[in-house]
Amino acid sequence: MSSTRKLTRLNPKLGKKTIYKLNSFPRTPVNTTKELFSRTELELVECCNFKVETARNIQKRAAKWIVPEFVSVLDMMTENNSPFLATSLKGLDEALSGGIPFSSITELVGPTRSGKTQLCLTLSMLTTLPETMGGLGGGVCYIDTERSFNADRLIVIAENRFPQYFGKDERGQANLDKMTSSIHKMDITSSKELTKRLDELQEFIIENDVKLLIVDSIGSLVRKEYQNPVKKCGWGGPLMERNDILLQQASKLKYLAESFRIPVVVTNQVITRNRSETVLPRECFRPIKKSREEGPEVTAALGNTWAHSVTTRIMMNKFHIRNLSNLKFTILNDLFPPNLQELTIVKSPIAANITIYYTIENEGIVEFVYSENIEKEDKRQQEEEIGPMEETDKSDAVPSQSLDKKKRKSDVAEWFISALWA
Amino acid sequence: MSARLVSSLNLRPSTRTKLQKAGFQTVKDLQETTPIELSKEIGISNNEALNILQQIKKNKVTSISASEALQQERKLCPISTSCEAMDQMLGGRGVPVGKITEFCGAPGMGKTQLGMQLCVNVQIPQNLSGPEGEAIFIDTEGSFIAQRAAEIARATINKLNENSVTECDPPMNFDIVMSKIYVSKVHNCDELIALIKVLDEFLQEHPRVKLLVIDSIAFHFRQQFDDMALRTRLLNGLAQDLNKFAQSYELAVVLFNQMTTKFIISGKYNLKDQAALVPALGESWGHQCTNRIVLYWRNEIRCAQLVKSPSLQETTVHYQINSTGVRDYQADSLNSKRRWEELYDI
Amino acid sequence: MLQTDVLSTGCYGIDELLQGGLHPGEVTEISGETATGKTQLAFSATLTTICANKNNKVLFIDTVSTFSAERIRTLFLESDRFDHSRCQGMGEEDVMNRIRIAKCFDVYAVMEFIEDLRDHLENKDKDDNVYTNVKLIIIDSFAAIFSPLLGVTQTQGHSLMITLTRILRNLAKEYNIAVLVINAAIASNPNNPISVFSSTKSKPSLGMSWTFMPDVQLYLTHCVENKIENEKNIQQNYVYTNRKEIEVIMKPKICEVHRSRNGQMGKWCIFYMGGNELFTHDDII
Repeated sequence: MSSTRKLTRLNPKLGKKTIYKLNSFPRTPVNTTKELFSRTELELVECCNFKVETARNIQKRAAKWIVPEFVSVLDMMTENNSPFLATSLKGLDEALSGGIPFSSITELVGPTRSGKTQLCLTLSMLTTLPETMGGLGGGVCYIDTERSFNADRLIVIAENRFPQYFGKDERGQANLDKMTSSIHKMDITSSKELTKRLDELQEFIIENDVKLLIVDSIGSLVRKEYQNPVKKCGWGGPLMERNDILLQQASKLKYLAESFRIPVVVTNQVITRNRSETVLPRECFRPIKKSREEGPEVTAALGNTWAHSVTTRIMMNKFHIRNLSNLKFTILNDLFPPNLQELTIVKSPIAANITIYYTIENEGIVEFVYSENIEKEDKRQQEEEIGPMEETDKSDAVPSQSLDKKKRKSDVAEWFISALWA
Repeated sequence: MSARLVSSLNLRPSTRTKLQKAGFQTVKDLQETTPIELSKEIGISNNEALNILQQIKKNKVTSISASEALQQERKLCPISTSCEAMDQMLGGRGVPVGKITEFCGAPGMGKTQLGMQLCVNVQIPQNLSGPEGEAIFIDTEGSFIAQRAAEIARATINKLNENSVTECDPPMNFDIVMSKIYVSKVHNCDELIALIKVLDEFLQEHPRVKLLVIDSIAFHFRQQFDDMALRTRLLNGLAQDLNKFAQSYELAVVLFNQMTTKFIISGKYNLKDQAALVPALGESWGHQCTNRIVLYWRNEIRCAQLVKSPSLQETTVHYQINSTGVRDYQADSLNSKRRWEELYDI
Repeated sequence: MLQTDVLSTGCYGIDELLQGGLHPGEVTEISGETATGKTQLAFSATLTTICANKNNKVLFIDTVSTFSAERIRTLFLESDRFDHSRCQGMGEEDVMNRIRIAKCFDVYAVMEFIEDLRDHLENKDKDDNVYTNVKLIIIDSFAAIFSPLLGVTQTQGHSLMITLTRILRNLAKEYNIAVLVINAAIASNPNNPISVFSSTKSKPSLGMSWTFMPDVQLYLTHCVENKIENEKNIQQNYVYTNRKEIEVIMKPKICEVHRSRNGQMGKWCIFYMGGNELFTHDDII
């Protein structure tokens, strides 16, 4: 890693005798700072026959050499002015005080078809936009392990979201070309390869002015390579190995994120486990579903060790309404589109644990805002004059026939809230 | 002092052997010589001989009585967590100074935010019964976000302004608060060890530093270690250094630790293998901190449980984390409902 | 040796295991998992010794800054075990003055301090001798100062450990002082062979060479069920002692004798921590 430096480069230089003594350290010669700091002062004194002061001095000098500087928070704030990448989901951006944070890892967790890749594509597209349009005007490095990257989809999203900028005319096509050419996809097939790639990525990032690093997905490779580690061998062995690989990758990603001041987005799958059979402790995370709900529990894959390594974790899920009777569902169906999904911030140093709702449209991921939807519907109903009244009433078989439309809706909303939060 | 064996002195091996060969058994034998004699007799430099003789003369360690210790303890001003229940749990006024306090918690428990809150609270001025110090934040996970720290600082200053009785100048200035939190981002465990090794110089330059936060101690030590015994040794050495700093500079050392899943293989046919969530870094690390608090969720409420303390009872309290930082848990479910209403304009 | 010389730890069951308590002239080790009450036991022994005789003194060598004078004061003032002593006119100030604390953070500091102590004990006639009548020396904790030093690449750490123990033992024998050393625990896979419980997954730290150093080795563990499912076993119980009602969190802990030069090995008892006390079953009923 970065701070492992050869001791011979220490300035002013260590004496030849000192270097020789350090080299003669039994079993593992001390050549680098890393090796120096994995020895205690007593070991240096005893094994290399240093004076106590000398040993202390060597360690201190080497320490000063590699130690990162202290920065006051005030300086940190003036250094980076826009340390967030706006996601275009208003609620999420607000909660995260601006979007995906720079210099740290953000993880998107969700089952298949929950829109993780869609969000990644949307983010990639946004990153390539010029700064005047809220983008970052830089390249994207998209590490694809599941072969889920879809360039056609990317273009569809771009065209639908910014029909003017990516228009059918010549300029629009040029913009489109520019966008697609600055998104670099890398296919990777094994976790070893991924670790290696991450080591080599520095050059690539500088060359292509990468402003966003995406790994889609971090979990699939190791999960394929180390299937069911717990059941097979219990503690130790493969599970340790897997965690070790993951932690290494995490610290490499962190290093890249921090040194280049770019956001890193990784995706992860979910696992379901049966409540009664679960051997894993359940308090790892705030339960996403309410505890009284039946059925298997859904949590992020890769376990607890990995979960510690990400700075922000966002859970994406299909929208569930708890304990629905069919009747009420029809009412809600009216108010909420069927493809509604929910997105929850589970871990973040910035945001509270909030949930927002979104749908996957042609424009990529679009936030679903309740009030806007009502307005839309209102408009539609006004246009259709008498018709809609009857139509909605049909679906509503319970008492509320006499109530006027607005009242009923607020009732529904209230019930909905109580269902959600009770 | 006189009966102490020469072999137990802090010397390099070759000198030690030379002394023993020359017949110096105990410190008493050494006391009768002069530096020149010693250097000539066993063939070491004058400087080194002087060094040996100085080592046996100096006598720094003295004891104090418990009543003096009590007075010293009472002089130290603990750092409030802004959550009254948690302060109570930690002995009335917050995180103790002069000791190592470790918070362990699963991801998303608000460890980093708690750290930021402490960094701000350590600066509460003395006339508002705060420690009026500065803070060091060592970030190993890259999760320190300046904007969030600023948010917490603003909220805390506002709260103090509301409560302050005197209408004179504001108790804390935002810019000053932000400039007194020193952040260092370390990227691997060598850097962390190196940083601790040179920290005493930084502490001497900044004598007002009263809080040292390491978020988290576990991250770098959980990877790339094949030799577990070495890891234990390094960690214990680190802890001992931190202890020394905590005492000699009157620091509150706050460490954050991760939780890990531990499998308990029962080995019996009728018992299922179990797994439990335990603080990371293993059994031997658990001895190093003076106070240990575990943070966890229970029924959608954040709980903090004091599991280890030499002076306090085991207790569990609730807390919450909102946009203003760490706060007492308020038992109204309306809170979340209101949020929903705000968000959706109902 | 007279029975009265033995210093009680303040916990009946543990005294039984130790055949009366901490014996002067011996080195007793208490090791155990985190949060099993090692330091509490040390505090309890400190106060019991101080209150047993108005001349007794206790020396507490603190290497991990666990000593809390506030806690000692609360224990003395609130625990009814010391009512008797308070009646006899032992004041808070007097008690606190007879406890000496030395803060040492490395092994050399501890050695210097102990040599200094020996000098003081040798010259008893000094006027300001704060160390005469020291009955008990506590080192909390031994593991913290030695575990960074013990490695396979060098033997000096081990030899320092042996030297220090020898010094302590000599001191204990010469001046009839009981020495209490607190040690940590490390994981032991698959289980601890010395323990009588097959479920014990940890053992005292500091390695094999240390095991032969102390005269008595006590080992504290949490009760096993507790480890797995904490919450089920926490019940709030009320214990009625002479006058006060004390709330006890029923988290049983086990104390067993791992090694003993003169007592029976393998004996064990269950004890609880609560309020300001350590209880064994006999105390509760």
